[in-house]
Amino acid sequence: MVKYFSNNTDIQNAWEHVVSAFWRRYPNPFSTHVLTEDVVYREVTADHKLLSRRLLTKTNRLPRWAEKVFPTHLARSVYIVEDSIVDPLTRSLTTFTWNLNHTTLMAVEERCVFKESALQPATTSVKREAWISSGVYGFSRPIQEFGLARFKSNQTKSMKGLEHALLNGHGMYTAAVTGGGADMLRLKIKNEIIHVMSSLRLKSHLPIVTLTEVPVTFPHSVSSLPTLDRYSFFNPYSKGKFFGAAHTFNTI
Amino acid sequence: MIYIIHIYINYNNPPDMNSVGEACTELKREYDQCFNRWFAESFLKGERSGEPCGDSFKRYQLCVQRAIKEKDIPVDGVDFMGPNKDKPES
Repeated sequence: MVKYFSNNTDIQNAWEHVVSAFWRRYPNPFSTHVLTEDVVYREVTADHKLLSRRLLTKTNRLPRWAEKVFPTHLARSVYIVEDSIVDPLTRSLTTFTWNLNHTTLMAVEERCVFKESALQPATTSVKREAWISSGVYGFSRPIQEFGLARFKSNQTKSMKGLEHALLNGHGMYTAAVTGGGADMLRLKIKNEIIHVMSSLRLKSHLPIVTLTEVPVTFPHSVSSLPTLDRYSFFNPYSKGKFFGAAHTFNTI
Repeated sequence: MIYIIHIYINYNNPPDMNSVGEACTELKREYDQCFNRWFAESFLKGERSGEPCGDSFKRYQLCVQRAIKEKDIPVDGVDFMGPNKDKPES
């Protein structure tokens, strides 16, 4: 007896951000049950797809009635395999996740497809499907029900964890401003930076309070570009040091 | 006069996740950093240049594969996307 579950949802973020965040989503405040995370296989195929396998270990949380009946299962953590394919051409990420052990008790398989939304800009649509089964004779139904309830709860945590990773954006964003004097330009750049931060939904941080012109170390891919001015900024109210930089160059 | 701005945002000090091999966590962190940068700045942009993280990946894998063997984690010989093969297309 296999229970099937599926749902569709949208993430209000561009597909590239979602996929980048996918690799960075552990740890997060909602994933305390995930103990370890490792990439154990990775390959870029000839048609430019990225294949990866991640091995996760999670605590094995059973309801108390199950703990009494299956005490031996408490000892070992659950090993989870997450296989994924990133296709930057079709703008899709497909993941398949399942548990390696404790499968007689409960086998949970989940397939997720993250696709760039065809209809809404800067939106990613997510389709999730799960197949939950238990091989234990006589306990199959309550275990499956528990499995489904836990799966739904994990799904919520998983989305929250992904959103948390989306907040810690890492990347480059492009904006355009028309110039005036140097002061006006600085103000416009500051506003653009604030706009990028709120579009990444960093609303929990206060806006940038300082914009200083100092030499900064840029990612290596950028430092060779011609620049007119460089600006760095930090937010003294955020827990970790929040670093950002902007540089400008002329067009027209 | 139009100015194009490139804005870089990098949140420092993200917390680390442990590797299943206790000794491998630092190697994992090094590799993850390299990979995350390459993924966002090269791979997603369609650049076909080779992945620059080969060395750190090798070091990390040597460590973690040994830990997997020591802990008897049955991940070897599991087909890529194995259980997906018997599922209908979404």
